[in-house]
Amino acid sequence: MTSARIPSRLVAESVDLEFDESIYSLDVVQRAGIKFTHLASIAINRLGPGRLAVRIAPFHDADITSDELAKVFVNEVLDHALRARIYDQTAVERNLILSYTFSRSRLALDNVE
Amino acid sequence: MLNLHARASSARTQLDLPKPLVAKVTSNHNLPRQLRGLSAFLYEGQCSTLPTGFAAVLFRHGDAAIDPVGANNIELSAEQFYIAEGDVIRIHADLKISVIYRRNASSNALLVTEQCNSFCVMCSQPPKAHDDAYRIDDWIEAIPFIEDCCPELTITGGEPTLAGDKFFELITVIKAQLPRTAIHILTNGRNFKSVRLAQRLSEIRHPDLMLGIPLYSDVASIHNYVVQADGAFDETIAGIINLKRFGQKIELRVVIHAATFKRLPELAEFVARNLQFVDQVSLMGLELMGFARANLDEIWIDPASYQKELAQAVSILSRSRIRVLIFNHQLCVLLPELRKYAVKSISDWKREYMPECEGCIEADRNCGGFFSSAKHRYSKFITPIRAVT
Amino acid sequence: MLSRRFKDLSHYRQAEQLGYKLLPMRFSYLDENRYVLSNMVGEYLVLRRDCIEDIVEHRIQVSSTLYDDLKSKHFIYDESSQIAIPLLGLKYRTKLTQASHFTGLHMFVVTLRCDYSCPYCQVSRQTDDKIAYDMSQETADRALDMVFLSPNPAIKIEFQGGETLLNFPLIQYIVEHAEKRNKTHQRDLKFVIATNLSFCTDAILDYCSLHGISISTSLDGPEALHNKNRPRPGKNGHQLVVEGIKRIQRRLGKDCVSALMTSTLDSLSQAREIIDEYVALQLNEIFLRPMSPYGFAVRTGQIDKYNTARWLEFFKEGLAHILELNKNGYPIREIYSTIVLRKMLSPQEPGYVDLRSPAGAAIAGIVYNYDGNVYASDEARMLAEMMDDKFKLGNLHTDSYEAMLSNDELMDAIESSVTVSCPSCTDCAFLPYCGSDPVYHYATQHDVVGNKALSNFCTKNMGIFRHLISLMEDDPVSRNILRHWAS
Repeated sequence: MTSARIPSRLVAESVDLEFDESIYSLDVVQRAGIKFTHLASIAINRLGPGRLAVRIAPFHDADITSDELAKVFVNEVLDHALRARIYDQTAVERNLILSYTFSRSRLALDNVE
Repeated sequence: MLNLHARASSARTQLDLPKPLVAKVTSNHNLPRQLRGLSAFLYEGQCSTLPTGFAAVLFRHGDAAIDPVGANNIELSAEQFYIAEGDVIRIHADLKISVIYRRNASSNALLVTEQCNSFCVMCSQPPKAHDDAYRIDDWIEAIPFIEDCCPELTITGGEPTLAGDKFFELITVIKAQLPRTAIHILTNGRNFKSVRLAQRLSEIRHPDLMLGIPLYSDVASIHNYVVQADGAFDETIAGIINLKRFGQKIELRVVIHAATFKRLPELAEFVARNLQFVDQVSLMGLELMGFARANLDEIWIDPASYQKELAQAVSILSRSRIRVLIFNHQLCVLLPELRKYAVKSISDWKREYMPECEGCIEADRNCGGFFSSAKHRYSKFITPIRAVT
Repeated sequence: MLSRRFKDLSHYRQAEQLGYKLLPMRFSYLDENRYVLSNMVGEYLVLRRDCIEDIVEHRIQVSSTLYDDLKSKHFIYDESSQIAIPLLGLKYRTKLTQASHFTGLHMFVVTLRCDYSCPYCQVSRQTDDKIAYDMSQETADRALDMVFLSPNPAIKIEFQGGETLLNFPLIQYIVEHAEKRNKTHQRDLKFVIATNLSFCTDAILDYCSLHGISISTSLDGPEALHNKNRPRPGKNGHQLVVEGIKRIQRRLGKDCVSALMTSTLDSLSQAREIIDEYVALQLNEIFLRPMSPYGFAVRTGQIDKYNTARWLEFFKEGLAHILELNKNGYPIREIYSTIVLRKMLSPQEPGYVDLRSPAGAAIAGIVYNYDGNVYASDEARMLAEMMDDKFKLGNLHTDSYEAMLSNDELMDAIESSVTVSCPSCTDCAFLPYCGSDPVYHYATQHDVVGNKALSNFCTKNMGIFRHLISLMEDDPVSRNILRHWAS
């Protein structure tokens, strides 16, 4: 049986970030978080209504300081916020495309306008 | 360039033409009597007296005198001397003889209507709005006269599908009368956005049918501009997909000019990713007739100037295993690596060469030459090829 | 100006002035300055981050080249055309449904006996003559039952081991019985023997020629490296392989033999030398494979020291050398890159077992072990060697075909590991080029989905995707060569 590869290592100093939930949703912050689980421990909490807190604690052997990681993390949150906007704008199109993809009949386009 | 609708010199006997007469030309004076009523005998000095019973007799003006026999004995003018055995003609009361099928032609086209739902800026056969249903009726009438060894017929227009039910009837008649003849349909494909129409075509089960459909850009608005119709791009693509869904062979045709050359590689990429199932892509040079002449200044570009884009497009398509052919380009203006894709395609009756071609070893060999209409404008880079490429 | 009856291009562009809408797209970091933007079927553009923001905020100028490119590649659409959506549906369908037409890969482990003792071997090979480690005819018969019950129109039977030629009589048995059965089934049937070539006689080669069997062997690099990676008594493995390859090329033709290499720590500094060894043998394909995390590789500690970043450097160096060879007129392809490039640049889905989502396990390939155990993939067999039979489907002597393939655990694993629903993968621009590999993630993280941030499979693949895309963006000559591989 292989041992699980998720390391438990000592953490270096942590940095705290705060996000306005009306701009960056919990989902967006979480998605940003999972990207760095090989470098840091990432704890997300809610400080109060509309206020999300993220504590980032890089592992000892991570090749990055907590400040640098905080900056990268913020950019990742921005990226995910952009992705969320794309996702919202394309929900209808995505479903339409999938309905063509999984249509049971052999595909034909009738009377396209 | 041959005149296919010239007027004969004179009639030596009375004309008996209640309506235009369709007949198959033959030089065989021993043709069985039962067939003579459908045939026009071409006198070439092969007998001392004319055989009787033919629907018409054709003489070449200046031939030795021989006593005429029966009605419709007609003297051909010099420009009609190409008429030969196997050809199918329609004789009109005013002595105009339309040669509607030629055995020796490199291709035979059936113009079934001049109406069109597009209005391409370079159209060599400008549309006319009038009701010309008689054209397709004439063709349906003429099919039985065409010899069954005819390898291929091209159905063209205008937009052939505008002939409605008759369009399908014509194909059905060709299948029945000429079962070994392939059909090449030139259509903009737009009406095949209707699944029902595509299905109807497939129900004829013609064994050897290909639809040649123009696509001018990967960008809808540019394509729509070239064909001068909003929505044409979507309709054409829907048509292509529907036709493929019912198993038809598709040829994409791209006429290269000022409005279409720039994004030729992008169009090739679009085809490779979205329409990879097409059977052939034909990249074509301009034919300077009709609207192409009217709009010449706006759409002309010297073919030598777009060789880079052409080479890229050919590379993209051939890498995707899509058959590519280049039409209506002189070999000398094509980059050497593109010459193997060139087809000598200009119908023999339209093909010519220019003074600059003097000394070229490929003239009348591998090079397809020019449309006679090219005299209005052609590449400044015509150079004789002196060594084998 | 066109003559009076005609309208200008601007008229037909009017509909575009009404604004554009987005189509589903993903973006991921490429390098400091650039991101990759991809659509559902893997068509991509390389852009700056602020450009992507402009696209999403509807700031792209109508009639600009970028606007037209975005429309053409189905990232946006506008009032002038609605055909993007049905076309994307068709394209996505093409990529997905090709799965059902794939070759079924059926691997027969005909023996565990082997004359080598490679440290990275994933199989516990046996060095004595115990025929207990050979597959029996009865097992082979039952395996063939299962092979022909599968629906694939094309079937490839691959003989694995141990050293397969040590049980050549069984190979003959299987080939002949498969051909006999195929007279009824009429599949496109192909055979491959994976062998180290130690025991390859002329008689065996003639047999292969007669039955159209191709040969796959291992060539890890130049002599010292190969013999170190792949030791055998007599220490002459390299010599045997080289002679064997040449003999096969002469007797059966170059197309009948292929070689692959496995990387060890020692390989990582010898990329050029390894490739040159392939060129010396006039081979035109090489598969630069990483070390897999199974079997002896784990036990001998190789895998712990194995560093994906270091392997990626090895890969890039190797690929650069391969491209240079191509530029200088020697055509040689890297196989993994070729598979990825086909996903990126063509509408087809190449169907390589390790890069599929849903995973290829059991669907695209099956392993029939010498003892009758049936596994969802070769990796699953290796995992079982490490005492975990999660991906064992059953045993030919005790379980029915239906029971083995409707194994719930297997289906769950395949379904839950699908990349579009995996948190790390769902937003990744490289998703259309990647796969899920539940067996790998289970082996390394004890979870079929795994945390991709910790996954060497993910790191390796992203490294390769970024490298190939960067090459195509920045080096026109390499781009031409790579595009040629994709066709």
